[in-house]
Order: sequence, then C-alpha cells, then structure tokens
Amino acid sequence: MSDIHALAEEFRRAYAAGEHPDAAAYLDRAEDADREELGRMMRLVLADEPPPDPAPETLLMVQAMLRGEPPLLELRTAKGMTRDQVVTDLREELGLQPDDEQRVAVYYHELETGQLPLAGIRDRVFEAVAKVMGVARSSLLLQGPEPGGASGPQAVFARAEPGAEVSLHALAALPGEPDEVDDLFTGGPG
Amino acid sequence: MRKEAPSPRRLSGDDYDLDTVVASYWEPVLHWIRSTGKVRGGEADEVRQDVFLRVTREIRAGKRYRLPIGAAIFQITNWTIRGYVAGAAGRREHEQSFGEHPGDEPFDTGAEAEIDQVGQDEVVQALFARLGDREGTLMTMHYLQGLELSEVAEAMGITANNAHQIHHRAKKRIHEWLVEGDA
Repeated sequence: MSDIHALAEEFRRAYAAGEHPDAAAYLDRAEDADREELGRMMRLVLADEPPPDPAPETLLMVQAMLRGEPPLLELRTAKGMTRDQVVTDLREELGLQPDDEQRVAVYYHELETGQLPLAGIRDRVFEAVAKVMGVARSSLLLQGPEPGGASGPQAVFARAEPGAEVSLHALAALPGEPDEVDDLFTGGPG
Repeated sequence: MRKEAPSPRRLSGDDYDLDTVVASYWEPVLHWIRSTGKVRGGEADEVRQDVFLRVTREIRAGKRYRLPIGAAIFQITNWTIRGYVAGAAGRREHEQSFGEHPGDEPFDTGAEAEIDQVGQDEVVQALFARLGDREGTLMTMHYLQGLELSEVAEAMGITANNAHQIHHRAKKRIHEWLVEGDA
C-alpha cells in the first residue's frame, strides 16, 4: 500500500467516525506529485460514504441561514454568549493585544452579520472563531455577502440584536495604516 | 453515530427536508472543495456558500434533480469550483491593494452559464449514455422514467439482484467521473 492509499484510508476512517478531517491538511502530507491523485481518492470517499450526522450547531446555523438570519449570531445567542465575551475570546485566541479589541469588535460584527467577504478572511480567524464557538472548523457557517449584494447593511442591522449596532465605517475612521488585524480579516486567502 | 445517506430519487421543495439536505452536506462539500487544492482558506467557504445558495434556490423552486442528491450537490460543487477558479484568474490580472475585499465578483459569466445546466435532462442523459447500453438503460428507466428497480429488472429481463448490481456499478462510475471533475 502506497503512502497516499494509507492517507486516503486514514481520511476515510476519520470522516466516517465524524472526526472532521481536513482534506487540505491531508494534501499537505503527500508529495507534490501525488496530491492530485490523493485528492481524487478523498473525493471517492466523500462520494461513497454517507454524510455524517450534522452537529446540532450546524443544523441550527443552517436553519438560521435558510430563514435569512445571520447564522453566527444565531449560534452565539443559542450558546448564551455575549458579543463582548466572544470578541475578547477571539482577540486572545488570535494572539492580539487588548488595544486591538475595538477593531476586532468591528470586524467581528461584520463577520457575524455577513458583511465580510469570506475569501479575505485568514485561516487563523476561521479556526479561532470555530474554537471560541465550540464547533469544528469545517462545520462552521460564516456567511459572506451574496453575489450581487442582496443583503445591505441596513437589513443586517435590522436583524441584529439591540445594542449591536457598530458603525461599518468605524475602521476607516480609525487612525493608522492597515496592520495585523486588517490582514487577519481581509488579507486572505490562506 | 451515522445515519442513512439521504438518497431520494425525486427531490423537490415539497418532499425533501431542505434543512437536512444543507446541514448534511455542509461539511462534506467543504472537504470536497479543499481536496481539489484549487482554492485556499476562505475561498473554499465562499465556494461552499455559492453551492448552497444555488441548491437552496433550486430546491425551493421545486427543481427535481435527476441524480441522487449527494451526486447532484457534488456536481454543482465541481462546476462552481471551475467557475470560481476561472473568475479568480481574471481577478489576479487586476492588482488589489492591501485590505481591499477580494471575491466581490467570484464567478465569471461563462461558468455561470455552464453551471445553469446542472440537473438538465440533456446533461444527465449524456452521462447515462456514456455508461453504455445496460447501465445506461437501467439508469434512464430508473431516474428519468421513474420506474422502481424491480420494474426495470422486469422490463430488461434480468433479476432484481442483477439490477441492483448494475445500478450500484453505474452509480460508482458516475461518482468516479464526478471525482475526476470529468462529468
């Protein structure tokens, strides 16, 4: 059995056991020349295996999305977490300083209300949000703007909780050049 | 704990639980996208979002996929990735300043037109024709004409067990084409 067969089998076992294996991490473990074939083998697994039961949190977020409500806000509310608490945890998880908290709060609000394009968000942020929210990275449901911009800021504010209004232009008003915080939330992909 | 894969032969907003479809395939679709190595980080989430925007819109509109739901979703995923990668190549031609939001226009119009074909009879018929006589005939009668496998078996003069074997083999071949991105 070659290495990629072993990797594909490992992926199959982890997937079937509901362990949320990261396909990209498996690709990284293969030689460059073998990655395409390993990817094909992992897709065979996904095509063959029944999908795992979705986590209750995933179902909750999906139901919110289908109702047109912000999924991350729904999850946070269901977990009884305040936005301030999440922002602090997120800032710490990202290794940022207390001085960065206001800017993290603004970006988190954009994230929670679906205004931040997903492609610009760094992997570290996805992982940190998933950890703070207690869900797997792969089952986290973050919404970005829909193509064509169907959901404007006013609509988002209307759905947000009282007191959650944060100026969308607060970042522009803050002094200084773009830095690590900006890079984390807009400097992606990757 | 695992459950039976949702595998309705006929799918519409009336007879299928949209919440369950989306939630069940939410994670597998991200794995599928990341297994291609063609998009990175949040790009994969953006592709996934578009896949399910489309699936949701179509199911709510009462669209009836001719493939099992998992195969249909993975097929839509393949086409969406293809469109996204093509769109990203176009975007890279225009340098973006730091902090500018990428991905505002992730899909090129040509790919959108191609994606629009998913589930259309002619696409499915082409897939079934590619299977060859026996498998193609069985899949056509089962999925496009709506016959039960036992009825197909009787019409083809084969045993029900044989029909199930042919059905399984045909689905496997279609899965392989999907996995190869060759469907």
